[in-house]
Amino acid sequence: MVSEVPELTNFGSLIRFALGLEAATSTFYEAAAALPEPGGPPDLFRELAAQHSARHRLLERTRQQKLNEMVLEPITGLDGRRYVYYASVPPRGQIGARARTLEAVAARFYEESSVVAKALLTEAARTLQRLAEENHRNEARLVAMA
Amino acid sequence: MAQQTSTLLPEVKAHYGDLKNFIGGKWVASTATEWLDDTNPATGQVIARVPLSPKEDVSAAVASAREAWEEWRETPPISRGRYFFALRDLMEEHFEELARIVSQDHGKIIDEARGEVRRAIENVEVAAGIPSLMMGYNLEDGAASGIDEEVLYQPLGVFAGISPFNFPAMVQYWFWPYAVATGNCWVAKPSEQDPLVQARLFELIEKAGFPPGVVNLVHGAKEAVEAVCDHPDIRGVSFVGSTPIAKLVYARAASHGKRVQCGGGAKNLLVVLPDAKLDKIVPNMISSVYGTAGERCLAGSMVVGLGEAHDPVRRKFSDAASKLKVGYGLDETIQMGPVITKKHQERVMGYIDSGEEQGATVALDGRRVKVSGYEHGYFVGPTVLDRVTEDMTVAKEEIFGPVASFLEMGSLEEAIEWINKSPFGNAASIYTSSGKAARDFRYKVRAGSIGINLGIAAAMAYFPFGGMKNSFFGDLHPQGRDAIRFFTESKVVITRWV
Repeated sequence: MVSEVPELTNFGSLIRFALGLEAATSTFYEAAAALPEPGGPPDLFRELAAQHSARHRLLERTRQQKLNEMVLEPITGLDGRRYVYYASVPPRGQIGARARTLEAVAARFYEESSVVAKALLTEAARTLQRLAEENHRNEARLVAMA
Repeated sequence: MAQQTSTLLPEVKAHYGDLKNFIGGKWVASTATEWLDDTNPATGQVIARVPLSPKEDVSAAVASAREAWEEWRETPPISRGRYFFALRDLMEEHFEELARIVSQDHGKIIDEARGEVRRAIENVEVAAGIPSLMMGYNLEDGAASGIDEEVLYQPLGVFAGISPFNFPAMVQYWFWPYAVATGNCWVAKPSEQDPLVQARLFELIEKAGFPPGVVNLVHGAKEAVEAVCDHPDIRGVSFVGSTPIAKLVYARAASHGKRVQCGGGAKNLLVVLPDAKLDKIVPNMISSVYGTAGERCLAGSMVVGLGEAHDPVRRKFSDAASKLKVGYGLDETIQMGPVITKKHQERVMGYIDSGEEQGATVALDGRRVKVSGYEHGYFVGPTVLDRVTEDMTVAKEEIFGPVASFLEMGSLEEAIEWINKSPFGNAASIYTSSGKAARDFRYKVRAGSIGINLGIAAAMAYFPFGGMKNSFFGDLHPQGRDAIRFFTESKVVITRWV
């Protein structure tokens, strides 16, 4: 399964896409960890599932408390095609690669959206940047595991 | 295969039953004999029944507030503020639920509903700081050597607030947190067209532990409004609605010696200079005109592209407007919802008809919009009228719908003169890269809210919000320091110890 190409035209749609990405990623890790042969350390997958769940809650809080009037502010410069992701669980041998790609796409999305957010939403931009850094760390752990 | 995620958020409830009043800390059935159906404007379905409470219900609420007042005014400001901290936490906890109720009952899109609930919370947050906001001042030897002078701000008693349909959560919160935090008691009369979020908010007010009688809710319409204006124990009235009703409420309540603040209608102009950066400003203009389906007192209604700016602005604006996705506000992909009622839908369409009949060009026609799956909803699509002239009805009256009227003018002076001649004075915006033009605009324009490269200049909770001329009747605006002054009276004490 592949996500739709998001239309990132305002901060509301940006956060909505991020919420979908985090939910899908968390579900992906949960499903992978539950396989009889998970294609990677199940503990790590479970940890990452929980982490992405927590990130989902953080983003909900960000939408609720940090976007304020900017929720409908038009934004430009984000090309949704760069953030299309695959979140279904592939055959065993490809699970690690799929996880690394998911983290890489997320890192790219959060890095680029934090730049767009910076001018108007400093606090939200910091959150997005923090999420990108976390994605990079996750990717590194997954690479080390491979 | 693309991952299909449902973008339609669930409704909090399909039906909310018969609404009750909240009087003296209890949910009580209204004595109303008349009831109104409250409909979901996207579906046309009835989602609640609203009692049209008679004056006896208003009197019961006022009596309860009056009884609670003596003890409440003696509650120290810092303690009063703590109730607002508790309420704020509850509103955050139920944030999404409140926003969904707003969207379901009013029709606005979910992100707009979230923004509205956020605004309500911000007013609670500001009011929680009441000890600092309500302080008086003093001067040693202020009257003469050894004679000190000070001013105290004191609450008056019972206030009432009558709010409109377009911001069903927020507008009551422009008023009551300040009224109650300063030591008054409150009677709320929300719009009978979409009262559900206030009913839910009152459940949170109850949970926050406000003492019985301090905050009361009465559902109703004309009779309840008249009872509020006439009741001898109500010391002041806050109101937002249309200009004719604002004027009536102002006159009637003031004739009984009350303090009154009444927000009325608007006809806001967006002025675009040739040096404006169109790619950046058009999305903002679209949001100004079509946000909340144009049912905002700050909505841009008239667009003026000065001189050579007219054609490119109109083209880009119409193109962007034509792409707006219209539908049910609880669908997260929707960009504009329905208007509030069938009657209002017909009214807005009548204005478009009149514009066309009087010679305007319908560059984008929202009259025939169809929303699949919501055939009974009260939708009007984004509409653009071009070649509007100042004698046309659409140039003079508030439409309160998703209609942009484009006028041609040659100079900024002409635009400013047009704004200042208008009987309304709620808001006006200028789009320009010129500091000089922006400065001239804000200096000369007679309107309560000025936007510079912003189409909705909505004051935050700590600034006063309101218009001029026929857009506001009264002296002190809601929110900010004005609110503190409105809900208190000053007392001077001169002291000499001998």
